[in-house]
Amino acid sequence: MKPLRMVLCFLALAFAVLAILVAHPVFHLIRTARRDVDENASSPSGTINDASRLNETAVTEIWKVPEDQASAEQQLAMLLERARTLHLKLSIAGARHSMGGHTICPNGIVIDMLPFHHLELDKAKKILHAQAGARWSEVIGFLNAEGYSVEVMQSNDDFSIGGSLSVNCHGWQFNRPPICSTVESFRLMLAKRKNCKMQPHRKRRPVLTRPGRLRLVRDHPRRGPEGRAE
Amino acid sequence: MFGIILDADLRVVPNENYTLERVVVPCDQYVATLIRKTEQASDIALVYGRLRLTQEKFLTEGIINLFHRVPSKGTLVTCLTDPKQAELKRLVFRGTAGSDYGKQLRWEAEAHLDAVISGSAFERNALLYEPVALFQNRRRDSTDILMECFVTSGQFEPFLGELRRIVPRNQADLMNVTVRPRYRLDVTVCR
Repeated sequence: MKPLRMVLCFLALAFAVLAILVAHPVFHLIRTARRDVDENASSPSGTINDASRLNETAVTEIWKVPEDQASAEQQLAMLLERARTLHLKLSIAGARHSMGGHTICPNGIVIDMLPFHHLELDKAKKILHAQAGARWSEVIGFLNAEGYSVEVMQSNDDFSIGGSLSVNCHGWQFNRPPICSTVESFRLMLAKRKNCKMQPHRKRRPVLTRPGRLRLVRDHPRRGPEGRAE
Repeated sequence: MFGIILDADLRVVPNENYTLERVVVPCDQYVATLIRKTEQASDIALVYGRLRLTQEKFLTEGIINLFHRVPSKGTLVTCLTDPKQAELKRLVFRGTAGSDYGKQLRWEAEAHLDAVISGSAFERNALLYEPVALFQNRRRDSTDILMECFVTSGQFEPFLGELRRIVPRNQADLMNVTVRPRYRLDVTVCR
């Protein structure tokens, strides 16, 4: 056999073997791609769903929180007042991955926190100030530009800060407890419109029967009769 | 309703570079190997595991992924890009639904090919910058269900033993099992 023919035969054989090896996975992936149709549709007007797509629910209103902090807090307080007066039900929604109806109240008002997403970094203290509607994808992009990263978060970045704190998510960071372990403080608007600053209360020694708790402190220290902060 | 979380102050850490160590182990040695590996090294930053879901060797093999810190000389500021091979990752994952071959392909890809395709050098922010929407089921005729089970290390293998029995008997299509160690939190609960 001529050398050229031998080379051609070898190449043909190699190609055949390669094709056999590659054909099955390629065929499988092409078939998967053809079946992978995006059938997600937006919810009809007057309804909302969560990430499960199993909770399409009629609601009275989907109310977006203003981006501006002062307006947001003022209007949220007014909304809480209106809800109490008119006996309306409220639910709080971010990325809506807390499924099972947690973020949607039938015939209630859904507070969409996502527009409330301002971020600030105190590099000296290594503290990120994040509004509750910010998603981790926004946080990572923001911190990355400064050379920083999130201490504890889930393995995916779709979720909001407020939602992650609400469920006290765990992450995949080695030897690290859930996200609450990274919280210096957070602000909470109580149902009675009062803003509170929450700070973790750490025990000196872990007590199994009585876990740590968060201490409630006032947003602005109240002055006592002798001018001392109480 | 108790209240609405407005904002939070969260501690942050420097962005870092990691090298990935992948260890394929039998499931009955998973916990012991994880403990041994994490006790040996003081530079581990991220950990997760995956379990084999093919009919053959169902839940009997696992991969432990350990991300080791690479010492850095200064601040790591890089350009954050969308996840690498996003479409391929999606197809490999979605291809496991209802397909034992798809599960075999994903196992082989994660256990053996990933080191060739993705390499072993990673950056913390790039690892965290991945949406779950990438793997989301977009079809209307089916729903993926996520379930989290918290199992003590001593019960890991007995728990898998029950799963090996229960899942096939009920013809459940288990698409993914991720294993993560959990750590106790002594600071929690507001009042």
